[in-house]
Amino acid sequence: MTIAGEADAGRGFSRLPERAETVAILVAVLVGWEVLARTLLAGSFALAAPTQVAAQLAQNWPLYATNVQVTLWTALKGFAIGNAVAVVAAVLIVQWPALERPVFSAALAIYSLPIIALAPILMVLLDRPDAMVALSALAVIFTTMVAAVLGLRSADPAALEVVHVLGGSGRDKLIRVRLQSALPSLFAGLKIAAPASVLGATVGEFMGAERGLGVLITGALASLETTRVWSVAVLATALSGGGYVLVGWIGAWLTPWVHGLEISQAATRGGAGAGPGLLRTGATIAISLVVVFGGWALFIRLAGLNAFFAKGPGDVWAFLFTEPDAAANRALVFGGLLVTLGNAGLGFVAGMAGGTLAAIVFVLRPSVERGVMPIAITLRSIPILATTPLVILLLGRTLAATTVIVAILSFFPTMINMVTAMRLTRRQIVEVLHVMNASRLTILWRAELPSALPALMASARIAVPASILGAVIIEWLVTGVGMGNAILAGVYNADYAVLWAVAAILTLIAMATYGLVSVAERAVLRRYAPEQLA
Amino acid sequence: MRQRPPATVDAATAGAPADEGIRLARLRKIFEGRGAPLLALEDVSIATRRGAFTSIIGPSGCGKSTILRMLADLDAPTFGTVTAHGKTPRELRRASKLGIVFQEPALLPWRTVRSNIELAVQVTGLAVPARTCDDLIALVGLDGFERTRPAELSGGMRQRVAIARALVTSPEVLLLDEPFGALDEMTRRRLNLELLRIWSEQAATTLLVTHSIEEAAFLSDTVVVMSPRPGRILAEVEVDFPRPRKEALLRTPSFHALTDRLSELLAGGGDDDRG
Repeated sequence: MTIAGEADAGRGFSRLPERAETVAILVAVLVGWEVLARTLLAGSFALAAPTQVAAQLAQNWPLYATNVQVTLWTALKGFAIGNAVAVVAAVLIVQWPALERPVFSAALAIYSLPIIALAPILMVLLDRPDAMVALSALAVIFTTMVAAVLGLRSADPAALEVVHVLGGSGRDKLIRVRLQSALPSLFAGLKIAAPASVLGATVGEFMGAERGLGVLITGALASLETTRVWSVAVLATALSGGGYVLVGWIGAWLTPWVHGLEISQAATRGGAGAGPGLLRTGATIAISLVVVFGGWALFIRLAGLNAFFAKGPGDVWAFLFTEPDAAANRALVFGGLLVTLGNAGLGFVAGMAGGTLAAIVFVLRPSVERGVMPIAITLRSIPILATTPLVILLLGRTLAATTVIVAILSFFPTMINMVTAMRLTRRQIVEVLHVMNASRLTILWRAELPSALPALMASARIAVPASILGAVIIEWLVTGVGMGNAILAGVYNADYAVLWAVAAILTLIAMATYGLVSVAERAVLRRYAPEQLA
Repeated sequence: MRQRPPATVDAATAGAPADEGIRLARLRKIFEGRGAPLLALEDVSIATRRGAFTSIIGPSGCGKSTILRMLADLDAPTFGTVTAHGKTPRELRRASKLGIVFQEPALLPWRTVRSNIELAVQVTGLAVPARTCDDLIALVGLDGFERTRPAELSGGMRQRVAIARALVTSPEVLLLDEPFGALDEMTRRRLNLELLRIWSEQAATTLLVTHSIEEAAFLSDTVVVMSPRPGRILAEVEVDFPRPRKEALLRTPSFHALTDRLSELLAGGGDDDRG
């Protein structure tokens, strides 16, 4: 294995043997899946074989097609609306820097909102279909906004100065330089947004809808129809993965001057420049709190909503601290919070560690990566619902099962970010080490892993809210503990104050944790990638 | 200075003489990527003495960096053999006898100056006394910056760190790929002087790839002039200015005569002098 050969592989020369290897590994995965389903796990209700899934889909195609259409339409609308909002917010931030803190805080609050707690509230406040679209839109705003801000700011300063010297206005700079420069990073964000919008839509359907993939999977889960569960899972994965690939193609077509790795790089760095600097000071925390609570109170007041469903910050305060039942309410919510944080924390750590280990294996064994990575990129968009039945059936309704399911959420993004970052280790550093007769492991340990630390921190920052959300979804769907249990109780008793309290507390916790990780990330960047702080 | 036709070496000669330095025998390199195969080097043969300082100059894309990368075991010839001190590049690398400096300093941003230099010691596992490291830091003029990180250094200082890192293990063969190419002219001259001073203290057989005629003429025992792609050797020019060379040499008529001569050769005006 020569360095030269690896460099070629990294640059993505497509060669026939590599293609063949990729296909071979894909086939191996399918065959392994089939064999596993037919032998070891046969009759366990955990796994359906690919052939069974195919037969199921063929036999009942009209049913699946109708429901795919519903989910697809919801996700498309959510994708369009959410990303439009995100791009407008990004332009506002870049053109009027004074708006940066409030707009960023609002977007982060939206990202931290647990959609599972939000869903029942939105369903009574909006029409059902609109509520689904809203959930789908909310799922994409933050990541796209961060990517767009990063892109708009990546414009070549010299090009901006040329426009300035030619007498161009701020708008000229935006239209002629910034928007084009933003495209690679924006599309990296949109790629992630595609599966996210599908996830948002299915979670909404899950909580109560008439049609859609989320509805099908709940029904199939309840009646233990494994083949139907897996059929829906395959369709949902196809929707997410298809969206991911399609957006990637459109992006590549629109930005022929950019190479694939650079796009991934933008995704890896996602928000390093935007986030950490913002959340450092007490002032920023204060602004975030004002934005969240002010926005919340204003929303309740202006929307003129039914007071039975719509609770403001004051109502939640009363619910938790001044009502006669406040002590019991606190026990429910804060007791649940501890459980949820434990579940989320364990899964988060396991996912980050697993993702890092997998990335190391891939970097050491590029042939494994070439075969598995396309699958992994598709699976990064795997709906959490699809993996749940398998894990629950294998591990039971245990802490281990919750940990695994939450870990899967951070596993794929971490792995992909880490592989990309390690590959982007400066080639000449690797070559210098090679000339020094460094072993493969030495190069990994001394150069590639440290180079990827910033990517690890960026992954952690994004994974924190995702882990909390994942833990709540599992608690709500399967284990009936923690904040998920509080949501169940709220919905069951039609006690909307519980739901608002859960949403508010989880949002604040996720934002605070995001801020803490950002501070740590900044410290890591200062040492390991000072150029990214400039 | 004398000029002699390109050396032709019999690749089959076994048992290297004791004073043999770098030996390239009938090298040919074809790059195969997408599209048509690219002939980068054609029939390149060079033989240098042990401990000699040799430079290769030539237009961009003439394959001079490829030659250096072959000596570094980062690339392999399509045809022909590459040895130094009678060993293959891989043998030299495995024995930790190579030192390399690229145009980019390629420092690890999280390590301090000292720690970046010590990286070579840690990776090669050679027993290098701590004093060697201190001496080198002083030799490249970085006293007081031992605990500084690369981001806080100027481009010239970073490149000094890269040079110290290449030298700390006292390599037998030193490979320099445009080491000062990214620096301004003033810094470049100063570093050239320092490089000569440091080089004279170590006995490394050195190959420098550069765009700068002046740099090649000032530093080298032999300057190899290459043609545009496919890279061939146009001429080998021996430089016999006495050492140690001082900056004043740059202003002498004989130095200017040499650089003019090399410019002509590069421009293709050297045909009448060959054969």
